[in-house]
Parts: sequence; structure tokens; C-alpha cells
Amino acid sequence: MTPRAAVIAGFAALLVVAVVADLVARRAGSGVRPLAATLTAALRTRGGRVVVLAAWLWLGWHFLAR
Amino acid sequence: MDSAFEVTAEQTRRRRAVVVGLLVTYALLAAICRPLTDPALVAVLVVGAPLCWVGVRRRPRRAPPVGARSAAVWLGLLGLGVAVELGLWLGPDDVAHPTLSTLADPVLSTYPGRVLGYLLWAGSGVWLVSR
Repeated sequence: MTPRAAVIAGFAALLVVAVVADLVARRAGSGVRPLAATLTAALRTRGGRVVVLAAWLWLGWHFLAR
Repeated sequence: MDSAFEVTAEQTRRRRAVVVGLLVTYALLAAICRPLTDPALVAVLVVGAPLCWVGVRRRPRRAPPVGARSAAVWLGLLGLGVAVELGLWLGPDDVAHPTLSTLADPVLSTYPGRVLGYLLWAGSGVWLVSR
């Protein structure tokens, strides 16, 4: 496996783990809340909103404008 | 009571349709701007800055707190992703060790790819602000 293929596989694995974790979190009785619920909880405070929205703005700048 | 509910549901549907229409229009127009240009920066800021301003100022919905386990899982995954990305960014700058943005460049260099990118980004912003 080339280093490039390993990097791509690593990113893909991270994405798969995140999707599986979210699916598991949506099952009844799970001790982990889904990503959407966790983000919503993080947005309850002004500090949380500043951090999350700053990260979102940076993502837009980094991927679409930089 | 039922008719009042129907009106509210209809209003919600209309509002959603307007928001989706605005998002699609924005993405179609913003994607005309090629990356690494001033127009692209303006296209990001023209939506990003107002959404951030509204999102920071508005009072959010009441949401139940999540436990430490949830925070640990999602922050752990985020931290892992950031660590991998930082490692690649600080490492050798070649095609064998691409960062996530380098991998996305071929997609975002096309107009349809940028339309999708702007849709996902602006849509997630609207979702965050509406929480």
C-alpha cells in the first residue's frame, strides 16, 4: 500500500467510525448521544456557539475560498 | 385546533422551501467563484459572517445536556481527525501525503463539485443556527 493510499484509507476509516458511532448512538438505550444531539447541546451556551460557528466558518474558508 | 396546526405545518413547509431555494440559489451563484480568489472569499463571507452573527446572538433551543461519554466519543473522533490532518499538514508537502483539503481539491475545482461543497457548507450553517 502506498503512503497516499494509506492516508486515504485512514480518512475513510475515520468517516466510517463516525457513521457507525452515530448509528449506534441512535439505538434505544445507548449511553452515547448522536452527533446532532451533541452539537445541539454544545450550542446551548454562547461560548459553545462561538467555538462551533467559528469552526464552521473556518471550514468554509479553508475548503471553498483559501 | 386541527386547522391551526395545519396552518403552522403549512407555514413550516413554505419556510423550509424558501430556505432550500435560497441555499440552492446561493450555491449555484457562489460556485461560479473559483477557489483561491477574492470573489470566493466574498462568497464565503457574505453568508458566513451573517450566519455567525445571528447564531452567536440568538437564544438557542432548550436542549438536554449530553453525558461525558458522548462528549468523549465525539471530541475523541474530532481530535483524532485534527491530529491526522495536522500531522499531514506539518509533514512532507507532496502528493504521497495529502491533507483532506488536498484530496478535496480535484472535486472542488469543478463547478458541480463546488455547488455541492457550498450546499453542504451553507446548509450545515443554517442547521447550526436553527438549533
